Amino acid sequence: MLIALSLLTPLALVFALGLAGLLRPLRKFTVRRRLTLFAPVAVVPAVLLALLGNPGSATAALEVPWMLFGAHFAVDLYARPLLLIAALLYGAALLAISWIKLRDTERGSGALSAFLLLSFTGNIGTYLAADAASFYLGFALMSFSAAGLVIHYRTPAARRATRVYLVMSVLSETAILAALILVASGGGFLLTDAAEAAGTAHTGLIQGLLFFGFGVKAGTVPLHVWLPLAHPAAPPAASAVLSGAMVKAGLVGWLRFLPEGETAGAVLLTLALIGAFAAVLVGVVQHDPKVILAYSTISQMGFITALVAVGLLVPELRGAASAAAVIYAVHHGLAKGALFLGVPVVKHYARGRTGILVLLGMLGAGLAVAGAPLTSGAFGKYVSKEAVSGIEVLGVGLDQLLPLVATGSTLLLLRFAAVISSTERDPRRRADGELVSWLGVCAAGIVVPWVIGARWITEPVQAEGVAVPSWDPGTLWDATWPILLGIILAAMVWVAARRGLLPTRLTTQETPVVAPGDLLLAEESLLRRVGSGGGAALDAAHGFTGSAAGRWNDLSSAAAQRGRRGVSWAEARLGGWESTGLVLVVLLTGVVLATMLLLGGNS
Amino acid sequence: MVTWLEQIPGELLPAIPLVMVLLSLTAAVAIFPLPENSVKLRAGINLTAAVAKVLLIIALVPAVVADGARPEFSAPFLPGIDLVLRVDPLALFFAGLSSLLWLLTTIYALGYLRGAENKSRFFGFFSLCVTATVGISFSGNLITFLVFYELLTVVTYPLVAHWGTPASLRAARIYLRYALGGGLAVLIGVVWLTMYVGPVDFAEGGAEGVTELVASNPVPALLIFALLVGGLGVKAALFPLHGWLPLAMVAPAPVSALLHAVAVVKAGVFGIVRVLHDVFGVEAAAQLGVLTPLLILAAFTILYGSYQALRQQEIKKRLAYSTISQVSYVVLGVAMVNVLATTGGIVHLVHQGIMKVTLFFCAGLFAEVIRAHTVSQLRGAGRRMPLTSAAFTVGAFGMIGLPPTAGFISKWQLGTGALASEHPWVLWVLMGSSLLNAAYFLPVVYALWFADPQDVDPETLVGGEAGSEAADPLRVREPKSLLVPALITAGLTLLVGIAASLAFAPLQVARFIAEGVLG
Repeated sequence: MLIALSLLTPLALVFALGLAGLLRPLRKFTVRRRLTLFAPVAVVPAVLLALLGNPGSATAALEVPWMLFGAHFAVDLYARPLLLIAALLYGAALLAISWIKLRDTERGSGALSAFLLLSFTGNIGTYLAADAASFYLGFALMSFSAAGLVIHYRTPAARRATRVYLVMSVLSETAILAALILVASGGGFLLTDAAEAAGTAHTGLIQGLLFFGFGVKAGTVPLHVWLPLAHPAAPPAASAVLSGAMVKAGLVGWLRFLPEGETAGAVLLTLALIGAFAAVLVGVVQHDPKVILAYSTISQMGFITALVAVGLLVPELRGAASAAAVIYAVHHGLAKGALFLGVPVVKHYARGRTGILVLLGMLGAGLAVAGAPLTSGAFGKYVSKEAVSGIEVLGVGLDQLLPLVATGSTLLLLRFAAVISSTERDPRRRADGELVSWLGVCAAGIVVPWVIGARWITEPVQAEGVAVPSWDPGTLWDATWPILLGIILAAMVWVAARRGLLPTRLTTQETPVVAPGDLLLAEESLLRRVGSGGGAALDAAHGFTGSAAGRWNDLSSAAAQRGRRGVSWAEARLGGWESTGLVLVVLLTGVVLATMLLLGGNS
Repeated sequence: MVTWLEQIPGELLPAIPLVMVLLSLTAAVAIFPLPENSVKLRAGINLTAAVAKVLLIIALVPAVVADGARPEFSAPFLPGIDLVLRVDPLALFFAGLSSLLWLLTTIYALGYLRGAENKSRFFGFFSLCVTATVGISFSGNLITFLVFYELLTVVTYPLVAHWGTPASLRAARIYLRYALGGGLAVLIGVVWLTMYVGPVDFAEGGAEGVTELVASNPVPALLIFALLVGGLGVKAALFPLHGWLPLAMVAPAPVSALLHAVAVVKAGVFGIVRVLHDVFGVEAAAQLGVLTPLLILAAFTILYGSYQALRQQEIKKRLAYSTISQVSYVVLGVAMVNVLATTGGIVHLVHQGIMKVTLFFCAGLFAEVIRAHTVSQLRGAGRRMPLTSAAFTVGAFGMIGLPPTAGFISKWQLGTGALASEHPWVLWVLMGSSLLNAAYFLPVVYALWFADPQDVDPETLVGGEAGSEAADPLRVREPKSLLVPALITAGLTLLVGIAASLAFAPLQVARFIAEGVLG
């Protein structure tokens, strides 16, 4: 019941917003404005579901036998925390765009709210779905409605980002559909059986398709290219949910469907680590605060993906690694959401007394992303480190390697701070939904990951060694040194820059050395070359068939001409026949033939 | 609601198929002599007949599907051969689709041709066209099928040629050439088969004597199969017999809708399904070794049609090539011979019909209201005609196979069927087709909603509520009789997708049929 309500409430509101579009402009405007004020309320059932839907209880399961191929929904260990985070983030995003003064609202905020609500439904649908078809429904709904978020401003950059996003999404959707059909055919229609069924037949193929399909969403290198374009192009509230909630749908897909396998684990781990570190290098040279945050997301998703990969490599660690990945996702969702929502907050409120509040909030969120002691990030990093101990990459323990991601995050966040502190400020605004929602996400980021991490995730999997950290000096130091290292590195770079030791290309240019979307240009030109080559080949084939068809046509029309001449000759001879055309002749001959032959056949 | 219908006395049941055929025929006969200006009477006759047919179909469903009744009417036709009309689940399925879409298309056509000339001729042939379609669906033997199949060819010619322009006359001529050629092939096939085994009565698992023929005389059997399927393949627009279809899109929009969704193209595919299931039977067909070539042909047609669609800029042409591709899904499904795939193929008969009719309704609306004929002219149309654009979007998503539309159900069903068959590679054909469909439909959807409006043709502004200052100057009000059918079919596209597992949903009926055929 609560599940149905969580999914249907936002849809009902979208429907109402759509219908309002049919009214005359003035009425449309007022009705939409009123409806969007209610939009944040649409996430309430989902929040209640997360709070009350104890996995295994009656509230936490729903079967709709008449829907699709028999739809099943359930709140389980992974769905519950992610559901809450998604509801909080989307709620905050909706609040930020609707509960503000009329003159401050964005153009088309009704449409923006509708697309947010749609992708919210899809997003929690992927978490709640308990069968493959419903999962795909949720995933597709989320992917395609997100295009409406990215294109919102209709600028050339937004259009380009949307095109790239749509192409990537269509490819990813198709790969996922193929994978899900393979899984379902192997007996894994229900998600509880999915990973096992995927492990019995076509395993390698399924893994490849899933890597690609969900990798696009999760920003896995080299499929991450849409992220640095889409995040800055979308309105900040939308970027918050793109980065905080939507990229996690890819993670959930992996956790639900991926079968274990050493090769697959190794491949995924490699890609994950490349993403986790390379994103830092590209990110620090960027000029746009939201692009920097997007690269930070790619880096952080690399971290999470590494955990998934460990689960594939060592089946015994899968439970612990998955739990760690979810905890990390919960933490990252809120912290990154706060940073994205904070971009316009800094612009609008970073003055005077509210300025201190804004500074504190952004600092807290930044420290959490970097994983400073006592923050949610430290919690996430702690459980992750415990989960991966014993795995080695190129002779270095993975638990030694992963903390360095925090160093990278520190660098990115310092760069972010430097860029955003130099942005222009708008005239001061009164406190409104934008500020309130941002504060709410900050507050949730402090409390929620700890509570649900301890209560909902670690308790059920305690047996596998996942636990809340206790703050002894060793743990504190583990969380601190990567950040200190990052600060030292940043200081060195700063000093070098001051002394003019850096290449001028890095310091003086207007545009970043590496354009946002890094590999995209290469991928695009490759695609274009393949595309034009393929197109030329097809054109050649087409030309050939065309000319063949033309020749055939000539031949047949010549034959027809001859036939017609013959007929007209016959007609002239027979006389009296009106030119009723070939039609009658053919039909008559047919009928006569048929009668004759039929009688013959029967006798 | 169905309770009163269940009261239909058993002895009346056999008359229903005949009544249904006569109903449209009577409508046609009544309409032809009507003067041009008796608009209301014509509309009344049309709609009464269409509604009555839908009600009769609903009345038949419980008896045929649940009770297993097979109402049959037969009358002597040729010596030793009867004209047989029989209702089995597949017939009911197809007839249900055609009656429902006929009703909607009639409403659409009434609005579309308002003010046009030759309406009596149009609606007369329109009714005859439906007579033929119903006859085809209820045919109980090959001869009856052939009669209605040829009738369909003849009566659609005036519909395609309706505008009387050189282009439409040419298209109609080419259509006639193709269709008569195909019809001739079917005729020869039917005659040849009848010579061997006598009158061919459709029967589940193959007609009487055909299995023996396949065993004793495989070469003629193979040739007969090729003649029948080749001939039917012309209407079904199987590659390389599809050439007429993209040309025929010059016909008025309701005709295109009917042609692509129910009447002509579907009649061809329906015939192929009949030949495969009820004339030869899948086992005999497998013995002949024709299934794999048929499958490959269907797979190729799917990809080829999509590729060609990608090259078209004109909306209706793009839709026409898309039909070529989509209709082959049906052949693809039945050629894989397992319950899952066959269900997918048969359900696509209905699913494709509903989705494609939506798209053609919308294409007609765009052409009529804002004179948009090419994809680029649709830029920004979402703001001008939001409801039409929404319906088009639903149809396009259905074609791509996105959930929760009907197209997703077909695609998933066919995909699982492919993996259960001996030809798992078909899955990649389906995925390739999805990608291509996305490649030619998503740009249209993008243009509708996200592109900046094109220079607006000032003439089309007249449709807006000029004078009231509160109105959006760009908004155009669509004629209701055109819009409502499009919205209904778009809604159905979503409904049969979302509620696919409801009792008597197309998917369930299709599964029932497939299980009946394959045991």
